[in-house]
Amino acid sequence: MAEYKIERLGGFAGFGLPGSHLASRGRIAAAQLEQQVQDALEALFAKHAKARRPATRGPARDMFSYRITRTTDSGEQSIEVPEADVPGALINCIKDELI
Amino acid sequence: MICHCRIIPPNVLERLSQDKRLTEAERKHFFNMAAYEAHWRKLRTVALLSSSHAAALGSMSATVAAAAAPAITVYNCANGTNLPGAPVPNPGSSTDVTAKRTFVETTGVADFYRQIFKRNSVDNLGMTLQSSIHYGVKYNNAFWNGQQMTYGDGDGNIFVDFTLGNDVIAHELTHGVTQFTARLGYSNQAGGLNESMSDVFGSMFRQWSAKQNVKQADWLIGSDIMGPGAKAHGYTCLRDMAKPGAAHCLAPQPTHFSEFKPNMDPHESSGIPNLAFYKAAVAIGGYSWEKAGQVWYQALVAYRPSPSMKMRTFANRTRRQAKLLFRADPSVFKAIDAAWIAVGL
Repeated sequence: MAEYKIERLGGFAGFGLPGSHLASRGRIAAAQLEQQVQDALEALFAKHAKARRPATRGPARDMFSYRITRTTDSGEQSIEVPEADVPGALINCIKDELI
Repeated sequence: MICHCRIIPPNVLERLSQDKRLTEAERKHFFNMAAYEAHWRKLRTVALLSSSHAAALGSMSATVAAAAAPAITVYNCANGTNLPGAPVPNPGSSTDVTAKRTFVETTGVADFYRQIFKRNSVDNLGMTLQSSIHYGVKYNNAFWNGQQMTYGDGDGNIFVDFTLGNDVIAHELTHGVTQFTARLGYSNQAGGLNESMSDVFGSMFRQWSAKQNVKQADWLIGSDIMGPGAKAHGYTCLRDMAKPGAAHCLAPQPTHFSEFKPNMDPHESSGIPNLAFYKAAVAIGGYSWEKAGQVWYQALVAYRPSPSMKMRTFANRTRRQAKLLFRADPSVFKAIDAAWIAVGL
């Protein structure tokens, strides 16, 4: 069964940086997501998997980016995308924590 | 030779701004004219529509100096994520303490830039400073999106309301200043410099507001937004400009350029120039904005945009500006030079 892992990165506070004591992670089974969210994620992976570098953030500064990892029978695939591209249902499953 | 005419095409202004046969002051003048060209086109159109506004076509410096202070506006996202949200009427007297605080502190940052650096808003042309508050639900972040500032309420555990940190507000606003001046990118060394500019001017604003000299200042970034959960674990700040690698930082940083790695996040690599500023300011003494701050500001604004600037280039610009601005006080150059050498630059 496919599963999505999501990790919040950066921001003013520097989530998920090496040495940082801030992490924000979550995971959710694909089956728990509405079909339109799954379709949006499919499109997101198709768009960003082709990119050789993470999407640029334009003039935005201190905004979060997100690393989304999809696990399927054929293995893991990760993309790094800006906050505006991430479906809300996926963002809602993550939790900020001290590590 | 300083030309005050308004009909030089932008490409010519650009070329003149790089012409080595001209003096530095002349090149800077043409660079500024090129940077303001788009604004001037709009001003010219408005002015020509009304002959009563013909006086607006006076000299650039006079007009910029006479421009009104920027309007400060606050919007309420009401825990949604659509920007800018609903306007907050009269935010300076709002019963929403976050709205009132955002208005007061943003006004303070605008005053700081005007009084200390003679800068009129982020674009130096009086651009409205717009902020959105109550963004998202328990949102642990603040950001500049290229046009405005946005603040989350924090989750109440790791972080509290991000507007409680006046250094946070000055940090985000300074991203706007950088966008309109050096246009530093957001990756590699330029990204670290970009973040450092925001921490440096954020910390300076916090010190200026509290009338603290370099010895009284704590040099912490984000100390006023730490929540009870973070404090209980001994974290007192996000970053410490004096000790970037300290254990009390939620996000420790490198302290020497030898630790820099390509593609390092800007919030990590900024520790290197942050430490250089701290060392320079403390060695110079007094108030950070009087000498070290002036040098850093000129190194940021007095050159043509450098989206891919290297840290060493910025360091050398501060060395040059220290000599230019404080010719009669060589201790400023010595302090700044030693500070950069100490961090490997």
